[in-house]
Amino acid sequence: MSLFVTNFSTIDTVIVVAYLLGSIFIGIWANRYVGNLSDYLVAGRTLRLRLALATMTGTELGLVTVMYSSEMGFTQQYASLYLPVYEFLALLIIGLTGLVVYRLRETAVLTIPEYYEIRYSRGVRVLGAVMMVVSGVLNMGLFLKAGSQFLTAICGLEGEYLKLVMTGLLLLVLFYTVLGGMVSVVITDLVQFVILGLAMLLVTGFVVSDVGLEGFQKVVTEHNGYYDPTSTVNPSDPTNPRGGIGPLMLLAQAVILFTALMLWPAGVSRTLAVRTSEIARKLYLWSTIPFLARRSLPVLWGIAAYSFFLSNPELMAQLEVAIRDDPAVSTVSAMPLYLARIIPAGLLGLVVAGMVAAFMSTHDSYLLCWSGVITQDIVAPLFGPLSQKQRILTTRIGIVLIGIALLVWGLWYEVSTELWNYMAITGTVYLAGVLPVVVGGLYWRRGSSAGAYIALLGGLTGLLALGPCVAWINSQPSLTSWGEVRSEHLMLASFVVSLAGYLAGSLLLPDPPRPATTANVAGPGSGRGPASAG
Amino acid sequence: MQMWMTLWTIVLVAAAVGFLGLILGISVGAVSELKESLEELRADTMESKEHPEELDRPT
Repeated sequence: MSLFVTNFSTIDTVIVVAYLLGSIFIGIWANRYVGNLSDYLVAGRTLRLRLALATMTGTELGLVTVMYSSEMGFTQQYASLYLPVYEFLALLIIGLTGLVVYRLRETAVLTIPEYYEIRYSRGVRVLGAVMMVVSGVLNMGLFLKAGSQFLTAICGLEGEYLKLVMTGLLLLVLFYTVLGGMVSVVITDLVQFVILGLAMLLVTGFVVSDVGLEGFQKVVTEHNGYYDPTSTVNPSDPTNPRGGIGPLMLLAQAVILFTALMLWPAGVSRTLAVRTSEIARKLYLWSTIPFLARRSLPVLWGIAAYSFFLSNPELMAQLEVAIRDDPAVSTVSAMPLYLARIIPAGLLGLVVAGMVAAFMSTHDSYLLCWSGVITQDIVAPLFGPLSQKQRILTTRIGIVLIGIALLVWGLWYEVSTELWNYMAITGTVYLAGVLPVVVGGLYWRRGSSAGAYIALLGGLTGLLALGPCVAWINSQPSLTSWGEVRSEHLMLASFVVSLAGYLAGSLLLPDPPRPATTANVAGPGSGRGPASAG
Repeated sequence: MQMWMTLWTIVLVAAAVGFLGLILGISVGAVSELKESLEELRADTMESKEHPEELDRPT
């Protein structure tokens, strides 16, 4: 029995190609609705609740989310479901209280750094934008690789041909995002939401029917499945000291996820694109459902893959050899290798189209978000004033440049680390700084520019949590006298450093008094227009 | 073990059922919302075409 077997056939290829051609058509068609900068960056702030929910789900339910969640289901089984529960609870709190997002939408800014200038200073805006773009592009570094691994395993694509396919996909996303901006992103996200939603439910149905309820129970009762996340020992991988979760990781992930849900730029761009602050709050409340699904259903697929491979020792042995010897195969590959066997031809095309949709819907929003920040918050403040036409052109150039950077770095350069850990760490670089700066700015009158500078730069300490840095720290006896240093220690430390820096900087170096603005005093109004173009 | 597995089962069932309901709910309503948004954007675009100098004014 061979590890690489797939039901992917010609009819599946036709389905996927038809879907991709449809996306090109939408990109060309949407261009007619872009009249000014606000239309291009936030779809003129015209989004109502259901459309905003569809596009937010489309963005945040990316192929990379599916891949890292299923990887966690494969390696940590049921215990990894703590992450969807965290997301559900965090969104519920934000949705019920409007914490941060309500006031942020009231300011009517186009980007978070624009808020920095209104509340602090232009320098804080530029520094905050640079930190955001660096962290964001780093965070996207593994998206293409994760997509490649999925298509490799499920379609049987290999080597250079696969790289060309991934390059083609990225070019397609660049094409319609450059042309139509947020308008085409919203339209394609709606289509992608429906296709990937159906694909996810379809896969879940096949997985449950293949493994059966008894099989899922056996994962714990017979296959040493991991089900208690408070335990630091993973019974399915007891010899790996980093295989478990434990209280400290639970705490670190709670902080990161809660902050990311409030302040991750791609999500915030949806908050800023809706018609009113009340819709922004409701958007978070209703997002509890798709966000619960976006992580927990792929975890279930990963658990099913774990059950499948443990029930087939010969295939499990082949998978272990492939993970050890083939750089293109890792624990991420287990889920698609499994799906390629159980989903029949024809339906597999719909599933692949759904996952390609997930890939594209995340990339388009992220590309638009980061390039919008480059234009509005780095280029315009430093080299402005710029007209709206010049801003749209700069944003389009930014999209292409980021796309090229992703292609070179993410696809042709090997990054060897676990997906979710990598994303959490690169996200920390931005999140640790933005949390005190935005929350303090919105809720604490004494927050100052000096505090904001220190907090934003403090986020850079998050880079110490990357694998090579952790290994180096642990090789220095003087730094490990209290015991082994783990990435979760350093991620939490980064948040503490930024918060302490913000408080100390604000108290010791306050800003001179200035009149209250909409940025620090929440007021009524929906603010459909951009607050400041400069 | 019983407690954890009950919790995880509830999470998985709620995710699948909730997601199905959401897809049905959104698919129906979002299309009409999209039409309304596009109408508003069309008005914006017309205005921009009538006053192209606004787009050329540095800010």
